[in-house]
Amino acid sequence: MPYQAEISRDNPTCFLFVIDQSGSMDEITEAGRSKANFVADVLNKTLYTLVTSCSKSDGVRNYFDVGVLAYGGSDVTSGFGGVLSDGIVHPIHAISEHTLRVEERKKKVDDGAGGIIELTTKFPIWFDPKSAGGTPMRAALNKTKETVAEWCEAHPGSYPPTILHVTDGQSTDGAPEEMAEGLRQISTKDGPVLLFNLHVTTAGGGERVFPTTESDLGDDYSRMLFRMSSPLPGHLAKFASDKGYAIAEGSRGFIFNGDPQCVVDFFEIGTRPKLVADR
Amino acid sequence: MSYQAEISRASPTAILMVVDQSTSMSQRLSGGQSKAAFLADVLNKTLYTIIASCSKADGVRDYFHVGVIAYSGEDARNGFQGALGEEPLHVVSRLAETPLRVETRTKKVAGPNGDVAEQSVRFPIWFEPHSRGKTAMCAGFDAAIEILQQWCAAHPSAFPPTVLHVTDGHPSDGNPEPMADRLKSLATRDGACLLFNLHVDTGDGEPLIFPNDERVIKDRFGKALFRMSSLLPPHAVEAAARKGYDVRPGARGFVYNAGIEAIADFFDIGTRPAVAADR
Repeated sequence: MPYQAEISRDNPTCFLFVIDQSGSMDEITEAGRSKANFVADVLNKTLYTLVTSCSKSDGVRNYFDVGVLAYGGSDVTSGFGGVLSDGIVHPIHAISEHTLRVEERKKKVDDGAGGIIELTTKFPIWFDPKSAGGTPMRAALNKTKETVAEWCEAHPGSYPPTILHVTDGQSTDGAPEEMAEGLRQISTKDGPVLLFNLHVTTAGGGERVFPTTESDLGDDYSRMLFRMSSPLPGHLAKFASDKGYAIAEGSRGFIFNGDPQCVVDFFEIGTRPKLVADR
Repeated sequence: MSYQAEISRASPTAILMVVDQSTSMSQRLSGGQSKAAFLADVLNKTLYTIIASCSKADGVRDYFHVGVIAYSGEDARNGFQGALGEEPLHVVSRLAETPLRVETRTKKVAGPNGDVAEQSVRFPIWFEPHSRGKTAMCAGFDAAIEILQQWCAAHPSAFPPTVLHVTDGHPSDGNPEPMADRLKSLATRDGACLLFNLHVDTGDGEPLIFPNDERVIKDRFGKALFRMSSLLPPHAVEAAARKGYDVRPGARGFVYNAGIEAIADFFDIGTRPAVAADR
């Protein structure tokens, strides 16, 4: 059975976020923020959650290696800045120590007596939104493939890497499907790499969440993204279904026309491997 | 011009809350409380605020008749219990005398330096959270129509009743749209009954607050709730603007995907008909 490996400091797993930063990501959502901005917030929050889930009394344990690949224009680069921009994938401990900055954000919470109070919270930033140029998805997935292949070679017994790919448009440098196929053939002894695709939109309607067949999807482009997506392994399927999504045998890690709520859930579901070891 | 009648002891208005208590209301909001529990807190606070706004040197003046209808399973019922459970609507002075109990709550308050302090406050409870069974929304509207038909007949020149309806789901007992139309066709000489709808969501999705176009809502039932909602009358537009909402022409008394802040604001704005008289 694949996807059973224990995740521990000796056998970490890998999360790689592949983020579209092409020009169209500056489109504004219903709530008045750009897609790029919203995705960056969710990614930063996800990184923070990953750090927290590795934080024990003795410090941040390296259960995860984490990387961000950003693509837009003609470039595929590390989405991290500062010292983290050297190399793509870093142990979670290094991530926890090298934020770009820590912002103060206002957050409204329940005051305990039927009202709302605004609190100031610290919001660490690792990744800044950008949106310019074309959509070199093929190059991005090629770089992903290289990065992941290298990682799997160094960690043959680990739970395989999970790739969360976020895009809003069509590739401008050729068909990405064969790259995705190549990527999904890479594996550790615990199973093949997981590639989950999230397509975001500002236009309301027509979202398709964790579909099971191509025929549920309206056009060639969404069908291709479906084929590029891995089936959800059992524990993630259960987590998605606990969140209220309709999951069936064969549901893929794919959301088409996702709204902001879908973005949040996609990141949460995609970064939820079983942490069982050395607690 | 409608909605101009002075609200006075001689000519009070009515506020009726219609609350979904179906099973899904037990889902947790981002703050940690269930939707049902947070809503009950907001509703109790709203009742307290209504009483406070009617409290003058000579006691509590009966500017309002207030009731709560709860629906779930197959039917609708009085949302109050005990002595208040026997009548559908109560004068404010009666409410003030008859809470179920007074709890001591720990409330978060903003300290002088932006820090947060905790304070013990007395918190009267009139309404208890429940969440069990199906979504008998039509039964809820049916009950509201019956109560308000009588009320309008008895108060032909009063400021018309305001109905605040809260739900998180799709009705399980038929199409509520024609019933909402009937409710909105009940009237006094000062105008038609106001129906405001609040759709509650657990997520981090962004709420749509007082939209003026149903096309921005994707969900079919969300669109129906939009159509079921009255145009915001001038006093509510003003209250919404004071809270910083950008209210456009044609805006409806409808909030979709509300999180905690939008829930609290909805009740605040919806229960603010101007008390102008005998001050």
